Amino acid sequence: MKEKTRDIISSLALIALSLFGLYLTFDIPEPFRDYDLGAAFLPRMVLGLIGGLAALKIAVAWMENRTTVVEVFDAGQIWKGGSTIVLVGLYCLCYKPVGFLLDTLIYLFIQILILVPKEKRRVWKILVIDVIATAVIYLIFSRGFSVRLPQGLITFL
Amino acid sequence: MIQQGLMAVFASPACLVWIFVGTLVGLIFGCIPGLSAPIAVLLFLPMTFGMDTITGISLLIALYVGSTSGGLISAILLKIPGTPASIATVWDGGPMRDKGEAGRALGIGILYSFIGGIISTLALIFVSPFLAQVAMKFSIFEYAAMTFMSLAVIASVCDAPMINSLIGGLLGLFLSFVGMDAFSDVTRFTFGSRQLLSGFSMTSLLIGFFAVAEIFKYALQKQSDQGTVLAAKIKGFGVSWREFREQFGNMIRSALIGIGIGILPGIGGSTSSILSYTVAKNASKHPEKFGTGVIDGVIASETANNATVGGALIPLLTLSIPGSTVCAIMLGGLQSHGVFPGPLIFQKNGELMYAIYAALIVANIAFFLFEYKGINLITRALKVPTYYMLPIVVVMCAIGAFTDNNRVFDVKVIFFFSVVALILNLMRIPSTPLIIGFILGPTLELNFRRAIMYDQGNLAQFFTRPISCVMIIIGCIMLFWPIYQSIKRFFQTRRGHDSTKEA
Repeated sequence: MKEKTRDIISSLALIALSLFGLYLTFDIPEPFRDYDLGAAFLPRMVLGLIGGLAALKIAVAWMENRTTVVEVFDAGQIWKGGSTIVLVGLYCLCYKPVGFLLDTLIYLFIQILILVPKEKRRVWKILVIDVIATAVIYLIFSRGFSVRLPQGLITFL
Repeated sequence: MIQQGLMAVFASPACLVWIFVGTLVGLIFGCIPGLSAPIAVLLFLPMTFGMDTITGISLLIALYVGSTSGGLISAILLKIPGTPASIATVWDGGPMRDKGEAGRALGIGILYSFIGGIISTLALIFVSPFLAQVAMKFSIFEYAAMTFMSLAVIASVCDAPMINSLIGGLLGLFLSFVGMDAFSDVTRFTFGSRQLLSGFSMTSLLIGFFAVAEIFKYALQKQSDQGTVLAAKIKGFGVSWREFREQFGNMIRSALIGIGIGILPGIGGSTSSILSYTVAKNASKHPEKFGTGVIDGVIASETANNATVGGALIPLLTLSIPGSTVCAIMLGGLQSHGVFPGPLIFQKNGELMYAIYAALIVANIAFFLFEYKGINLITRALKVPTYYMLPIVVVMCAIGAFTDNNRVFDVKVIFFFSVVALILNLMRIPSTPLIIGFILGPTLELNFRRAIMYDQGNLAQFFTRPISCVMIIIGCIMLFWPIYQSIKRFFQTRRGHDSTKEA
């Protein structure tokens, strides 16, 4: 992908965001005090500036016509990156229903498995690190700092 | 008050232990490429909630000091900067390592890091009361103008195209508007969520942007070898008395650059070390030797990046303006303990201020001892692969977000912000202006709207008050000068193209 294309796509996304934000500001009631600018004034100004700067970015990208090619990810990187994003997302979503201990045990194991280079992948080693790390973190926070971490499915601890 | 503050650190074994632990952990995080000072401080932030204020803040300071100085170890032994602040150390520390002088380079780096840290602590001790007194005279107009100036400075000096930095700062401002309006019971951009009524938590935003996003970036990048760690033995400090006297000017100049850069909001150790390296090179009688392994480069870089720490704390404590990402996290830590930095901090939390001075001195001594005597222990950490460390960091971050308000919602928020950070990274929009914009947003809005109401809808007082007027002028110059320069450059290039075509 060319740098110009990237800049144009990202600027269009920012314009869309600013328009959506501006649309939302119309729900904000008008000020009731004299001389108050109101709760919508600064958000409108900021969103307007974001849209304006994004439009300026498109103009600059168009006029400068940069042909530099932006680094693209190969299939392996996309798989690693994509699966990491999904995994972290699931970890955060399951934090309460599954509970800290089980959620962390599963997350750490799969995450390390994804990140470790194939030639260095030793399942038993990853499992040992996973269990020790989870236990140590749990003990430090729940016993050491009395943090009530979500119990989820494991209710007997 | 002075005695109480100092004794709260010096006479408290628990506090001293935490400072030493924090410095050691900071050093380890600083020397491992991929882990940085913000991650180290963020990880320990939730732990500080369970401590008393002085111990908690001392721990955060120790982590900051340790991680800033730890970068030099990998910069010299691996030729990879452990933190962005030690980029310039690689330029001469790397060649010194190749020449078999790794131990000498480390000795010099440690000594001058320590000196830089102590000079900046002295600057903090002497400058902050003066600045706090000046800031006492600030009214709502000066506060609004100062916030505008800070945002303009960040946007113009950030290491990214100016439009992108401006967009980053504005996005940060926009995020700060989420929640209930400070003047009324009106809600903004909450989509009916009760959890969003108080807005986004600063801790969750910082964790998402600076810690969790790192694992995404790591997973998306091509994995390279972590490099060979060279064993090095440090003998002495690597400089003779004659060399020390010769380098005195370089040391003082670099320390002053570090402090000055630290005070400016939004830019940190990386800029100060590169700038002082460049200045040292330009001022040197032998600039051609820079980059081949001369001690001048290591001294300039290491003195400056450590001097940034004290400098960055000055605006944080006296004006409540964070000078760097780590200071933004520390601001969150201070607020969680019920401490609100500002001009009145000496009156309201004087004991804490003196404790911070003491903690800085102890942390500098601690990193000096650890690096000088325990270099072999720290270099072992360099052998721990990042693919084991980062997932554990994510787990600790989730706990950090959870403990901030004891709600799972914040854990989901860190995921949201980490994805946003990744998208912005792909769009080349820097995170630092966004964070500073988010932090300064409420101050800007509150003071600007109050000022307008006070002056009955008029903007005149912003320009009739000298301090406010100067701040607005500086802000405008910082904003429009780079724009003017780039437009000029654009037309010059275009004219050059046209004349080539005609020829």
